[in-house]
Amino acid sequence: MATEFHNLQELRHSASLANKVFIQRDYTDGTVCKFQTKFPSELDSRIERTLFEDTVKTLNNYYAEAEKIGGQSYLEGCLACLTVYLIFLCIETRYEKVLKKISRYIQEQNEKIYAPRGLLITDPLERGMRVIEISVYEDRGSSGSSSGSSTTSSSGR
Amino acid sequence: MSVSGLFFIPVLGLACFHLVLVARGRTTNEQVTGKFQGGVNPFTRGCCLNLQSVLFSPIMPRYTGKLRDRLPVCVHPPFHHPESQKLTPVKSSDNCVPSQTLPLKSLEEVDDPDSKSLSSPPPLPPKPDPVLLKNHLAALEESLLQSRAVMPSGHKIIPLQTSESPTKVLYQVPRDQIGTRISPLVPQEHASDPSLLQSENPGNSLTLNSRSLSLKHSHRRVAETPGPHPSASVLISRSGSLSCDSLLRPVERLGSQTPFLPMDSSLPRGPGCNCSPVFMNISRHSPQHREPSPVCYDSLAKPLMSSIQERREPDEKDKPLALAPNSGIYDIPSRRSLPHDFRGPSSRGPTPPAYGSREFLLSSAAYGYGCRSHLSSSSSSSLTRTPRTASSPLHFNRSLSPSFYHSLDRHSQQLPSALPSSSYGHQKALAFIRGEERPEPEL
Repeated sequence: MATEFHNLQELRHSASLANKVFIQRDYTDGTVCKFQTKFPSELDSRIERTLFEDTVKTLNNYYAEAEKIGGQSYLEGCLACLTVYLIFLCIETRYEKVLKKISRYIQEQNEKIYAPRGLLITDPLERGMRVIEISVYEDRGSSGSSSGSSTTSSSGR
Repeated sequence: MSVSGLFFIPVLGLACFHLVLVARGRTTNEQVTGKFQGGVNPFTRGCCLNLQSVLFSPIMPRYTGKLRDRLPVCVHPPFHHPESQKLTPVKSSDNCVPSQTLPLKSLEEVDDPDSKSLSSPPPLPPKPDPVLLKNHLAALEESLLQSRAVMPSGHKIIPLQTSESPTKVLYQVPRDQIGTRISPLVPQEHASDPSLLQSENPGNSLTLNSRSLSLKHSHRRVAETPGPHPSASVLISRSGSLSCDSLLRPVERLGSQTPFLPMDSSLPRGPGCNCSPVFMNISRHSPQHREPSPVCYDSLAKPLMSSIQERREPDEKDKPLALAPNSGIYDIPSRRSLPHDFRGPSSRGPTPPAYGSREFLLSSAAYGYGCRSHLSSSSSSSLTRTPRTASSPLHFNRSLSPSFYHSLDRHSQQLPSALPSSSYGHQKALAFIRGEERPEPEL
């Protein structure tokens, strides 16, 4: 399992992980990959509601686009079946392309919106598409102070 | 020759069996354990769609080894906060993103010099431009249709009622450029469900209300003009999706809080209309129930309802503890559910279902306890047998957990009139059953 790498340890002279907020999946539309847009109360004072919901909705749209059943997915399935999945050594599936787009989007959102507010979004891919994990950082002053209830999510895998 | 032909008989048999399974949208386990013999399979979407989703689904890649080439993101203070500081403008994202974020300007009109402005028109004059409003309305209709295609005809009331208000919200966006004010503004205009708005208005500015009211009339005129126009600018489509989503958020919020409820409520209606019974139940019951449990409890007797609510309280207390570790999310079902007691009426599986799996969704859906999605497993798995006992509260199922007994008994004793038989007979029955489970009486 790949671990996320945030360059925090070198700059932890004034920021430390305080809490993690998890955005769960929304199953009202079935088992498609969709996350709840409900605004968590822990982020109430950290980020504007609209920004957060924009992010989640965009992510939901991306996932819907990735899981769309259409001509391309049919062709990929047929080709994979015929070539015994060897075709995936050469080409990239549409789902993978969308996953890369999502990763770029999350990176950009982190840089522009969330990091200035002391938050970091973890790609749900790294959490098995179960949750969107938002790490909340606090301004703790010097690095000697201990952080709050920081948790290790990697142990859940 | 005939011997080799004999080998194909089981193969063909299995092939046919699995074709039937795929067409019906079931798993082998569900078929073998007879889960859906009495009810409706909530996971099926019709024969054609089932086949299509099995055969033509996109191939999902593996998740390992793809995440190492990521640039680190530095997080260091000072951090921006929404209330204390001015709103920072949001830069528009790159071209591959279909929807872009709005640029936000502060109330004091202090602009960040390096904010990239979208291709939006300059701030409009006070008089509303009917053409712009038409485009807004069209974009809103489009985005409403796109985002809520599932919403059935019975519930078109909600979008229709607020079809006027989003236009004025849309109009607010390019004028005031205050993103945070939009969402509280919309629920204020949403008159049908005031109870939903309690948590939606943290700190509204009332300055926009008068403006919105004055624009209401002009928007009404525009709302009646027929024919959607194709939306041109990114800003219009973005603000359309923004406000319609913020509109639907009061309904969505509760809808997403009970992710399992539509599967149960749609049972009598079929899998097509998922949302309407959910929203109907929620809007009917939300003023009465408290915030964490907007679930329909019509079919249960009062003592059961109160016992369920009582049982929820330890769940709520456990919630902050349970949510702290990420692995706790997955530990909760195994920690709190009772594997030896978890026997559904028709299932014979000994292990509790994993969180998020089909069995888990099914078990909580089939009994209609759509609790909070992040903590629904514990309470719903323990409560799966209550509808069976609702009709005859005296005939307790032996497989119920003892704690459920206690809460039930406490309330049964407080409400003896609710029970059909005499109190003496009731207590005797309780004592009899309890005597088998536990030695000490608690009468």
